[in-house]
Amino acid sequence: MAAVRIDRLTSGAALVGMAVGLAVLADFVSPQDPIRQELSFALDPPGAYHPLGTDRLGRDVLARLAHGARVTLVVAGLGTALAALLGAAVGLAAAVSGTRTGGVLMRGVDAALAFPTLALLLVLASLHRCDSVASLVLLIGATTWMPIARLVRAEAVSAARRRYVEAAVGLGAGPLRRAVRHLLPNVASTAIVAATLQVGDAMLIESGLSYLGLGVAAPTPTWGDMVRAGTQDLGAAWWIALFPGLALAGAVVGVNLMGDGLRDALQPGLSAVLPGPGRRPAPGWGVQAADPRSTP
Amino acid sequence: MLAYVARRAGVSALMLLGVATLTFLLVHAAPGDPADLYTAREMDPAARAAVLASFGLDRPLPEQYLRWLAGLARGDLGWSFTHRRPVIEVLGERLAATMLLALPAFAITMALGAALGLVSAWRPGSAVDAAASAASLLLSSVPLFWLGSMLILAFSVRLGWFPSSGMRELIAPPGTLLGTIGDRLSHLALPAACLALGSAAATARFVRAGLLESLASPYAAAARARGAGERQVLLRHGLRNALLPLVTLAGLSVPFLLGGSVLVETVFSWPGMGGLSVEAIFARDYPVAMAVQLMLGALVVAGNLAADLGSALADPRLRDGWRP
Repeated sequence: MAAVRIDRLTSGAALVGMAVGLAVLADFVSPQDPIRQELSFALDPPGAYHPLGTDRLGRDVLARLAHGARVTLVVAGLGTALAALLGAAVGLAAAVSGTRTGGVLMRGVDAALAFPTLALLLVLASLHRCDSVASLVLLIGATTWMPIARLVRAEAVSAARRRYVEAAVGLGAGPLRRAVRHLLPNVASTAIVAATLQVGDAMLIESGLSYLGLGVAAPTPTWGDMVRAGTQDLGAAWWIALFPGLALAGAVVGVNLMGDGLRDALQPGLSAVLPGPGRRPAPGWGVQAADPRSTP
Repeated sequence: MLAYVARRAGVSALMLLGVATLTFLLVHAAPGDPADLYTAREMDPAARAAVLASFGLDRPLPEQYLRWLAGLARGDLGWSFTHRRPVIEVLGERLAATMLLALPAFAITMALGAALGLVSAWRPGSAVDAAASAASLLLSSVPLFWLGSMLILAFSVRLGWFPSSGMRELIAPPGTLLGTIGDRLSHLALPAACLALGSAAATARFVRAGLLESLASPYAAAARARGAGERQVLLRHGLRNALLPLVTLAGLSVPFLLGGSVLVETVFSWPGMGGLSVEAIFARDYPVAMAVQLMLGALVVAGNLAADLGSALADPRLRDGWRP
């Protein structure tokens, strides 16, 4: 089994590495300008000059694909990192505060989980004009931290029963010191694995918003927006919608493989507890399984 | 059990109130005065005040909130600005279209997911299992809107088997009842397949995990000891026990199907609730946007409640504060 696990982690990392490479080296991947329109080359099929063809406005699809990788990766990566920080903070706070305060905090988390994230995202993205990378990072962070908080709290509560934590309490350690010094190291790997498993969902959220016309504002190329534009020209130019979707699917598969591999490598016992991609009813669109057993 | 039901229902009602409140706050905290959308600054002040008063927008916010809640309690969701009709009418039509899409998609999800899960659990680690696992990883990673576009490209643009958008044939509607049913089905095929494929992957993983767990349990060993064949153990003992949590998953995936329909309905121009939410948001039709969001929230809350009650019904240990 060990070989299989390493394979997953490496193949996932390779896929993610390709996406990151595309984003970082965007200017070298294609010397074309992703925004410049050349209407005389509109809807050119893939060829020597435009390896992946051009879109309706004559813009190079490969260049847009490479630059679009930046938006998806940065928004999903930073957004999920923010979610991990928020989730860890709330989870730890709930674990070190008393049963009552902690319970109230976790009820709040449950309520936030039950909220239809998608509808929330639509309202926030449109009415509150979240069309910059920074605001989308905040949006993803603010709407996806809840599962991490639950996991972190569960882990921290069990860690808090250990002797050395009790000893620290006996020595007069306050809640903050307990949380940061003694519990955080115990929950860090859980939070990291859980966050990795959520990055794929975050990518799907970002691109979904872009597809609906609510993501990062034009003219910045994004994968979701490219698919949307390509859908209008499916009959004449299949390449516009095909390639960005393939890139997105590849990146999401990569992150999910990485998360699965990390989970098995770091926390062999966790796979039963931690919902991997697909073990929930849905990737990303707002419904989390409310397992009554996981709300102590 | 009754006490548990009452408590969970109470929590759900509170949750629903929370969803309604947050919806109201988010929409009203949006930058810009909502009044500006329905009136112009240079309007005659008296006329402007009359318009605002007719929408109730001249009242203080807490009062608007209470009025809105009172309306909700009476089933009055307000008046749609773009459709010029009561919101409840618009929502009702769209909800029916969404159900027409979501219910077949749900059936496909469950059937396909159970079959895929069964096939992979039959011989864990085999080539079939690996292929099924890869398929479900792929399906749960593919963005729905792109899957939809590719389905259109393959089956509509290239093969011409199914129409690419809409719910009915508009130019030459079929006259007969049979023709109408066929027309609906052919319009339904691609969006339903798109919606179902993504969630079937999740269901398959769930079924596989449940089957493997129950195949490793003492009752499976006991059945084998009594001389039951592996097929019988899998189907009679494994599947039955693995399907029980699937009932819970079903409760949880109904709101997902409705939520996922936002993207799928947009791709296929399906006249459902998901499409309506996007339209309403772009048109700043606040009453409709709030109603759709509330509806989605209510469905999620109802799904959670159904899942909790279902699993408590199946497993008495989950009732009334029992903790492992």
